[in-house]
Amino acid sequence: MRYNSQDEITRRQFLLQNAHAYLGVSLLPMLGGTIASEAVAAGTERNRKPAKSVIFLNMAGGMSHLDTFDLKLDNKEVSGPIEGIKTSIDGYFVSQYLPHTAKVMDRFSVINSMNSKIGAHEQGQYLVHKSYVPRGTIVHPSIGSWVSRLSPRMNKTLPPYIAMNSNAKNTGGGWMGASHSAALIGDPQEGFEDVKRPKSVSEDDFQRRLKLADMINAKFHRENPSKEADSYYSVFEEATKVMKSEDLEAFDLEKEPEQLRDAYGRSKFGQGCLLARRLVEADVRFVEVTLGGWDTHYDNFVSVEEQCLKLDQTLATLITDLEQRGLLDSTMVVLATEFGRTPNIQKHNRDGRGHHPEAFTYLVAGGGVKRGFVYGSSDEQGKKAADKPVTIFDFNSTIAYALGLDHAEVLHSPSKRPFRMAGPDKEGGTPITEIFA
Amino acid sequence: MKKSKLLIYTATLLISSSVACAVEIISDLKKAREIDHLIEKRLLKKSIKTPQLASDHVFLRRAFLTAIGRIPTEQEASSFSDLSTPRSRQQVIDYLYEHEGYDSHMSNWAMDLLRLRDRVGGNLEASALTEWVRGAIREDKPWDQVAHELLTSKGNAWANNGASGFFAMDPNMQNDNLSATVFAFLGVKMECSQCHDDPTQEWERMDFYELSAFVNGVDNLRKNLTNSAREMAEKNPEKYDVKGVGQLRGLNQFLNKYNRFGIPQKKGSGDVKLPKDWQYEDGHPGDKVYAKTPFGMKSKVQVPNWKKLEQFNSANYGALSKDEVKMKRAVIQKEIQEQKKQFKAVKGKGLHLFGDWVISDETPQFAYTVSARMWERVMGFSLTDTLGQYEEVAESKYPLIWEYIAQLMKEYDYDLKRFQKTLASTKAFQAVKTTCNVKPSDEALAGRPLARLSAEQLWDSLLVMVTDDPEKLPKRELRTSLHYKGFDLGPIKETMAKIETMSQEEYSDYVLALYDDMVNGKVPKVKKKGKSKSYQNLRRSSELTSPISKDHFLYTFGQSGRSVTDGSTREGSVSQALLLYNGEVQKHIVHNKNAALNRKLATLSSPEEKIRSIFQTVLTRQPSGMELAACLQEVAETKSKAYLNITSALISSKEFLFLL
Repeated sequence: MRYNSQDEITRRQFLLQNAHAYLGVSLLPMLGGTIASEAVAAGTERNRKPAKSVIFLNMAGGMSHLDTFDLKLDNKEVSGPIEGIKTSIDGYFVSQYLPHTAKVMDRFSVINSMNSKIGAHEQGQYLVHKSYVPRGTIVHPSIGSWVSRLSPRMNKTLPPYIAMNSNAKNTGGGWMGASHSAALIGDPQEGFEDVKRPKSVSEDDFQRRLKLADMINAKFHRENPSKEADSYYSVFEEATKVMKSEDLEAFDLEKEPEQLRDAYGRSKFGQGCLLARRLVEADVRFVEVTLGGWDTHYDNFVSVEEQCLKLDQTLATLITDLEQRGLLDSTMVVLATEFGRTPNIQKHNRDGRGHHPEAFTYLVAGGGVKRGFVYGSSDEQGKKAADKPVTIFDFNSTIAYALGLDHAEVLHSPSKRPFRMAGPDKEGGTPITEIFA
Repeated sequence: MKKSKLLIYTATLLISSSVACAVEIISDLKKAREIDHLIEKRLLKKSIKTPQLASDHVFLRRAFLTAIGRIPTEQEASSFSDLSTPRSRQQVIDYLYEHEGYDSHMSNWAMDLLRLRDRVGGNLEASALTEWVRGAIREDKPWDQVAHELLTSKGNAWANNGASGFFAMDPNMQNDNLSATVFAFLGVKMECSQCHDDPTQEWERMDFYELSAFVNGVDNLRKNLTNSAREMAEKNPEKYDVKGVGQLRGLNQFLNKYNRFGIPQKKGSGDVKLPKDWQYEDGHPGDKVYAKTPFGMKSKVQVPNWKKLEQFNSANYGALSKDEVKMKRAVIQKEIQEQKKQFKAVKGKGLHLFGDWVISDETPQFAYTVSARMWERVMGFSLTDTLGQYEEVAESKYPLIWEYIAQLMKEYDYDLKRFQKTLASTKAFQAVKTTCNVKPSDEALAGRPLARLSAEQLWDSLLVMVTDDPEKLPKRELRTSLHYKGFDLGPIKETMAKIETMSQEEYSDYVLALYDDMVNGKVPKVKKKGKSKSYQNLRRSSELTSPISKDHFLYTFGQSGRSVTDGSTREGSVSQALLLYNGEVQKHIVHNKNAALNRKLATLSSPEEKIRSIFQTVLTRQPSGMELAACLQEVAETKSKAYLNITSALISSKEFLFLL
């Protein structure tokens, strides 16, 4: 790169030299196990049944930790008009906008010391989903893809990874290929869209179509062999399996009592969470439901209140419902976001809050995690992760750990590059074993 | 001028222009040959056989999809039935790069690159910018000019030319906007250095802030009601509804959706304050730094060096005579005067300096980046490891080719259409993949890699089966009137131009008066029900809402959300397969009697003709003997249903979904 400064030795050169040295060294541990993976090996030996499924609630836009689960009530400059309400965890308060969740807080482990270095949405969401920052040279698989790849499939016909209201790019299989991408659901009430044949097409017609397409494809493959095309086309085989699945009724929310559907909330997110429960019941490994709208640059307090209205009752119902059905031990429920919001309230943006990756909150329940447990903390202003900081790499390793997978297992991309569910080796992603009972 | 003289004059003009045109065509073909020569030389050096040329139907399909973003209609294909000679193939290229579909396909490219959305952060109406860019593409405006106008235009985008919306796309996220801009035009990734020194590249945080000083200035335009207007409204709750100023505020917010889409004249101050979290020794939070370019053309905003004079005055010059000291002081004073003059000349003109820097010949990244992007678009593979990312050319995979095409781009004065046409005129464009053992580094040169069609190419190709002429489908139209709660508040352009010149007080008075008029029935009601705001129906992909809704075909097949550069994906998903098997494709094409393909089939009598027509339309080729026999067997067994089955099978085949 041409550079027009004639400065002598600059910090940039120093950094570059170090980065090169660092990258060279960091390749070595990838060839074998790491200290972290040894820790996991030791951890998985204990008497704990691994969780079977994950429900990943993606709060897209950067959920304000300060106005939801990590209140700074003693500091009015930070908390603004937010008031705390008591929860089922002794002495722990959440925002007044979360009355239903407050009652089930004792089922959660709360991590108030999440932190990241990424303060931009796209990159942040990418990191949350993939344990890597976007690089120009490769597309990484998402955490759901890792789970799909590393865990034996429990339901043979439904896709192992399903995402609702989520972004295709962040839930894609990346170098693992389309077969590990999430099956995307737009509107949970519509179910698995297009999964049924049109009425005018008989089963016989459908089979004839497949046969004719096979003929065209065989010729095409003979003349133009391509692994990429084969990989892409694998989703077509997957689709025909899904169409025949006896478990498709998992998508039929009509089967649920009206009262329960109301309790989940009739929004896309509410019904999405209900569908998520039905899907883990049908042995789907990883289900994501996205709730966008957390980017509260303007009118933060009005916006957060609106967001909490969408989240609160749904989250509480999901936890209670899973528990009542005996599914909470085998299902890990995660409430995640890409970053928090700034402690300073920006008057010029009608009391808005900016992006703030240095401290934010995740919630996790089920799958063997402790109940009513608060892990780590942010500082007095909620500005920095102070005690027991947890990175996204650590947290995604924790998901692996909960499922009995090795977060540090190295898989190689077709271009022979090593990757791990825990993210880059140098980030040292390690499961937070302390939150497990 | 006499009539005969006029005729002679016109004829001379015509001849001279057509001679000039012919010279240009010959010269461009020569350039295409030179590119082929560079590729062949490289292949020879690596002992790789030069690939063979694609068959007629593969060439035709590739040319159509590359140039105009869709497959040919049956009629178009039949008008290019003989493609056995280089000349006949060149005629296809000549035809396509003058085709209206080129504008549509290029619009999609620009919308992805520049992140053009109909609505941007803070719910601002942003289609004025999109339409400006689409207009520039229709005019074939040189790319450097497009960049410069986008980077230097100021004012309200609705009142002026739309380009001034470029810096208004990311309210309160000006640093993100700058990073995306630098990447889009120069292929340089600087987003990490927004917050910290970037250990993987060479940028320090200071580099980013010095660059940001060029474009620093007040955020998006904004007009607000004054406090006195609000108080006045609060005192008249019976007039302004029970919520006091609620309705007035609603009207204000509505106007701001348009008014805020633009940037103030103050933008481009040339200086910026370091943020509160500055963590390095080269500055302190709140320090003012001045604009300076981090690479490429040297450009900066430099403050006069007053300290130099102070130092001189306080120094001891015992050894020098009074006159000598005076002379020396005069030199320094002159130097500072000069600096002052220069500072005055550039102060507040940061945007122009920035725009000049981006497109300067001394900033080589500009030509390299756009030429590499165009190369990837036409040739189907990237010259760099990363699409759109600038690399040191000498260290890149194909330095000679990249160097050549970047020069060519400059020689063509950034005429992207002419540039793409030249690339499409190469033999390399027509190559098929060689099957011999080739190392990955040279694989692409030995024949185009297979790639799934983009979401837009798929959608636009499906339209060919629905309608006889996809170019005649409805187009986007720039909104022209302000419609608010059933009232027609007037033309957008004029209203925004008027608001732009108002002070806050005048604006408040204007909103109050407008509100009064609305209440008193003096504002006309919207006459007809306005056209649907969204464009979800059958149109070319470039004419639809940007970004598309999540339940749309384009979204399912990976269209960019247009919040980041190059946000599209070609990854597969079960939903895509289901959509083709069972979804809208069945309803709108396979089982739609009014679809162009089915209308055509209805005019044909023999099963063979019908089968041939389906193959020609969907796959741009005739069926092989075996395929024809299998399809005839299908007709024998399932009668008229067979055609639906064949069409459906072909649409879900790899051959339709992939570009060879």
